[in-house]
Amino acid sequence: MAAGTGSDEMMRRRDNERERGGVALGALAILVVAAVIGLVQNRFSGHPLPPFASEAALRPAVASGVSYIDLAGAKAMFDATSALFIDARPPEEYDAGHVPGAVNLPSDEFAKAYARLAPTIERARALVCYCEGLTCDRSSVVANLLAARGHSHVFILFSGWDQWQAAGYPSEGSSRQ
Amino acid sequence: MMAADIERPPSTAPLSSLLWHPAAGVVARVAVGGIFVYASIGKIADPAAFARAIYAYRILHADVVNLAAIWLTWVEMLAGVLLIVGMGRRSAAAVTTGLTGLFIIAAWLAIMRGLDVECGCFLARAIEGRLGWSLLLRDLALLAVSLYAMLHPSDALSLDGLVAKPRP
Repeated sequence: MAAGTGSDEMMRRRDNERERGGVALGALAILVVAAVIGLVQNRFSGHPLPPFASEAALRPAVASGVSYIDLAGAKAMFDATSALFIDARPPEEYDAGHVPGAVNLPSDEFAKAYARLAPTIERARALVCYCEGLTCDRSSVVANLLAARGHSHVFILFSGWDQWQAAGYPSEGSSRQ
Repeated sequence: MMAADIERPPSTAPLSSLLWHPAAGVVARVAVGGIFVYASIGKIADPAAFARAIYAYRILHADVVNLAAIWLTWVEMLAGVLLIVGMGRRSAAAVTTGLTGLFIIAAWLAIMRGLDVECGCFLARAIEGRLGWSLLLRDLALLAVSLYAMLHPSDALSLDGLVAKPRP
């Protein structure tokens, strides 16, 4: 058996292993405690997120006069041609592909585009705004601006373009022949 | 071979002592902790915005996005506070290092897939940027400092140092 430096070395190695284990256990404790604090804080906060709910909680708040519709509702309006679809995405994304008949009203250039499209928009019985996915807030920005200009029957198809494409509904634009 | 060959050349000693100076460890620890606490405050204020930011990366399923938002926010806050006060310093730094590593992977995946998303790092409009290579570099720098804080041997100015038991 090695004595002296050998056993020192072994003790040091054991100390190191113990410390590493302690660090890992501490890290795990942080993750667990954070989950508990988070759930409790969320439960009692003024604006709790449903932990397992999906899209409803992600929807941006909208002005009165604006409401969300689901894909089926939007498709029904599309089929009945009872609504004007408003694509709130930037022009290059609109050009690549959009709901057939939709007009491009980018949230970043709202005033300019609105001035151009106002006659078309005013003729429409209902307006369905959409942007790309669950995380875009462009459709709600545009819908709120439209409501502020006195338009009624303003709807948002949340996560619109993603849903529309996923459902395999028709589209027009440069990416589709 | 002479014994002197094995010893560290004396010229590197000042650099090494500067690198592992206790003050440098404290600065790194408090800086990383501060960044994480600051990042979590905006998320606590608007959890839905953070959930949207996570969803934009299209890595997690929509059903668990909210849970991840709630959890990650408080992991950031807790690890950040522990780093600042120096309690469970190494564990907290291990968490911030791991978290930053995850952010880097997520950001890299998003860039590779050509996603145009907000970073979701701070949620404060002034410093929040679109995801890109510069943000990835910023995260890599944070990863380096966080790793350094984890490996630094000094318990100076920390609660760990106050309660440390002297070795027999």
